[in-house]
Amino acid sequence: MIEYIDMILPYLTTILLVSSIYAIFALGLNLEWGFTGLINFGHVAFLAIGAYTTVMLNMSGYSLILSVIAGIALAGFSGFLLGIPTLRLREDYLAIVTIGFSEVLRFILLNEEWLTRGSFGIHGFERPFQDVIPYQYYNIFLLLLFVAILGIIYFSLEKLIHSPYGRVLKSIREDESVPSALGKNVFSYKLQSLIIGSAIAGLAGAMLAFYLQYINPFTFKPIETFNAWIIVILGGTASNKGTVVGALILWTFFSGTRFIEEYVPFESHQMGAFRMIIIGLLLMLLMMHKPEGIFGEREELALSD
Amino acid sequence: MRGRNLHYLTDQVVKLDILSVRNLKKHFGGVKAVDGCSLKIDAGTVVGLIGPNGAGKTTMFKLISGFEGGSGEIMFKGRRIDNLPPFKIARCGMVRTFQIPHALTKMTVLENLMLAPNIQCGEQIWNIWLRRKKIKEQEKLIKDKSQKILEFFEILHLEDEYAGALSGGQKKLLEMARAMMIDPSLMMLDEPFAGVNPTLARKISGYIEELRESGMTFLIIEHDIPAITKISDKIIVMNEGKIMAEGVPEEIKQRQDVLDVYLGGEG
Amino acid sequence: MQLIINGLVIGSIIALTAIGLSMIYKTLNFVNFAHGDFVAFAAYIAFFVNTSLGAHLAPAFLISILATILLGVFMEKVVWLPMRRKNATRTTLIIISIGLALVLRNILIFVWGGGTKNYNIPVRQGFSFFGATITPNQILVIITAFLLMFLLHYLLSRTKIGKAMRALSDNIDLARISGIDVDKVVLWTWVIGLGLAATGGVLYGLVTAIRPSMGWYLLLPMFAAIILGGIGNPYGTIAGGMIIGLSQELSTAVLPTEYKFAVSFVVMTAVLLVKPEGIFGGAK
Repeated sequence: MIEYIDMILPYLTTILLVSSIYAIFALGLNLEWGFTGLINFGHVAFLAIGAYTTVMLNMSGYSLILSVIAGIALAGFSGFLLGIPTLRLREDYLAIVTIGFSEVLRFILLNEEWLTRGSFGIHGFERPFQDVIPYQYYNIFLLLLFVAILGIIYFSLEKLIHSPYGRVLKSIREDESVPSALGKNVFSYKLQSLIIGSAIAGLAGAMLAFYLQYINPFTFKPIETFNAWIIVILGGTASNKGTVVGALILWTFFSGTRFIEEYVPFESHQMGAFRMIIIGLLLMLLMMHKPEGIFGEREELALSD
Repeated sequence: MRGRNLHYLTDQVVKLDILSVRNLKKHFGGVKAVDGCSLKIDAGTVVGLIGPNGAGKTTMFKLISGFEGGSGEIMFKGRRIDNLPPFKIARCGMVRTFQIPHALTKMTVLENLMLAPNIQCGEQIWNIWLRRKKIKEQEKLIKDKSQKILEFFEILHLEDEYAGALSGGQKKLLEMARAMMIDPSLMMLDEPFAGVNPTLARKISGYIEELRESGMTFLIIEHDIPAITKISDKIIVMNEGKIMAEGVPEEIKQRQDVLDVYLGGEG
Repeated sequence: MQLIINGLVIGSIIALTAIGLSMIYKTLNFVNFAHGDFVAFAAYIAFFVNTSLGAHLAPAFLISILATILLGVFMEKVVWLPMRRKNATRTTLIIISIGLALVLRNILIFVWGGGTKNYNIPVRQGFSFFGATITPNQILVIITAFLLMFLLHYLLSRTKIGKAMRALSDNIDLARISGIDVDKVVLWTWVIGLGLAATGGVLYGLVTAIRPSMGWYLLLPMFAAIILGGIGNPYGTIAGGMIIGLSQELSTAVLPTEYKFAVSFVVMTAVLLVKPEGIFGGAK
């Protein structure tokens, strides 16, 4: 029995670790899309900004805590820069521009080798308390740390949503002409939502860097944005609880399929493709038949008018 | 001494125009939706805006409330508001309702109303954690006010219903109630009587008159001529983007050119 | 000069594929993010028929177009039409198309792997042209593209179905009331739009290596072309496509080649901010 647990524990820890990172990443998106109705297809850009900033600053000698804060701040600020010119655009234009933004960012990361070491990636940066915690327990420690952070973010967002501020966001999501006609500065709220969501993504980026111990531009492809979208939609748009559960489900699915790899006659690239086909189909089916996901309330949704 | 003089002055100024529009224009490509219109509305009056479909009435509304940009001068309470964004105009005290009520269907009736006032400091994000007590107090005040207004419009019993479940007529009342929450000086109603049964229509007239008594100004687009002429102090008639007639209801009702436009035109 | 030639070639492809995207956008009122992957799909089918079945490129081309159109029609019947019946919002449709894009692209990877492929055709020498080389393939691409665009012009302005399509894109409810069979017109829009896209895809395979992501990376330039030229203005799209293609290639004279992509992004964002109707105007 104990050997069984010994075998399972590392896998379990990994699944929970990565799930918590994805959960935080997706919670940021949920604020932007689920609660404010912004179509951001470039969310991964802020994951990258958070990760790269934290790592690069740390490698230049700054303390870890400072680097992380800078990463979060820069991610949020980038959200601000992106939002100022683009949030006035209609939803489909916003979608296109945000994808373009994240891809261009990725190209910059890839090509400006003098800054980011390009496709070689960066490794060798510090991790929180790595000198203090013995190696074999480090992952467990990281898990506890990440879950704690997740808890803080989750409860903060919940408080935000159930406040008068959240009420304004909900009204913007459904029909922005109403809060506008009543005197709310809709653009400012949208921008704030984007900034906060991006900052949260930045935090997730730093956490991802700590977990992976190595980052390169290929870690931040658009597929990560769409993973977050699936998590949000699967769990239930506008449900933070659903988002967290969705992250867990998605990552368990990803890890689970890795187990099956040995038993199934696919080559490795086929396995990856197969996974994505399932994800794509899931996304389509969800939107077609159950857009409120698991925990979303039909009442809370404005996907089919 | 000075105070007394000013007081004397305000007694003399009986009619203040609250809204004054000069040479308003809006073109959509080749179509002149609003073609050089000017009008004045006195405070505390009900003004009806009528005209056949396509005359430019709703465009006029949108221009005045900031939802559409055009050229011309718009003065509201002595301040120029043309080219201001809608939310700033709303904060000056002008609110508009929509032809088809824009009820926030995923929120309850009460929530719809509690959204409206702009004094809730909890709507600024940093205050959520810093001023929790004040937010709670304000929520209570806002809730009381909402319930009072819902009562005035006789829909208090619906307060916990999702706005999406309301009937058309109830949604219209919700629109008006919600608009009231920000204590506007000028209420712009877009076809409040459209599709509404006679009983409700009478109630709405009653509400408008009652509010007018307490000093509210109204600019109302309507197609229901009997209803609007009954409650208006002044009627403005628009046709093809221009104002073709203006005057008290009795006068307008008898004008041949107005009747022609309605009977002969696309009315 | 070489850059100009390359620019014309890629521009024709962008223009050709973008028209399909633009037509679908105007008629169905949403951005089909899977459009790029249909383009890639067409290239792969042509490749498959050409190499594995040993056919000459011409029949492979026709089969590929047919296959792509069939796929599109299938999607219309199974996905888009039911969603229209349900009055799905634009956002819902966009997200569905993203899912479709993922599925299509990964089916390509699944079947043919992630590496590059090429048609099995004889390699021909290029000609010298004002100091640069132009290959027969490139000439073929440009000529075919322009030919098709002329055909399209004829179709839209002279035939009944073309007129119906224009009516639909102006005002779908009005069109329905005046007796136009909306669903049929929508179907034709898909057929023509995807037919063009498929042609673009096969032609694209003539001048570059075939990769699973080739379509997705064409999306941004396509959007840029459409927005530049003015949504719903097919001639604007054509011009937009050529401009984007040219600017992308010409930019490599001053920027590292990897930033070609960024050119589309910058142009598109600039247009959206300054003159959203595009250079040649069109509806919003």
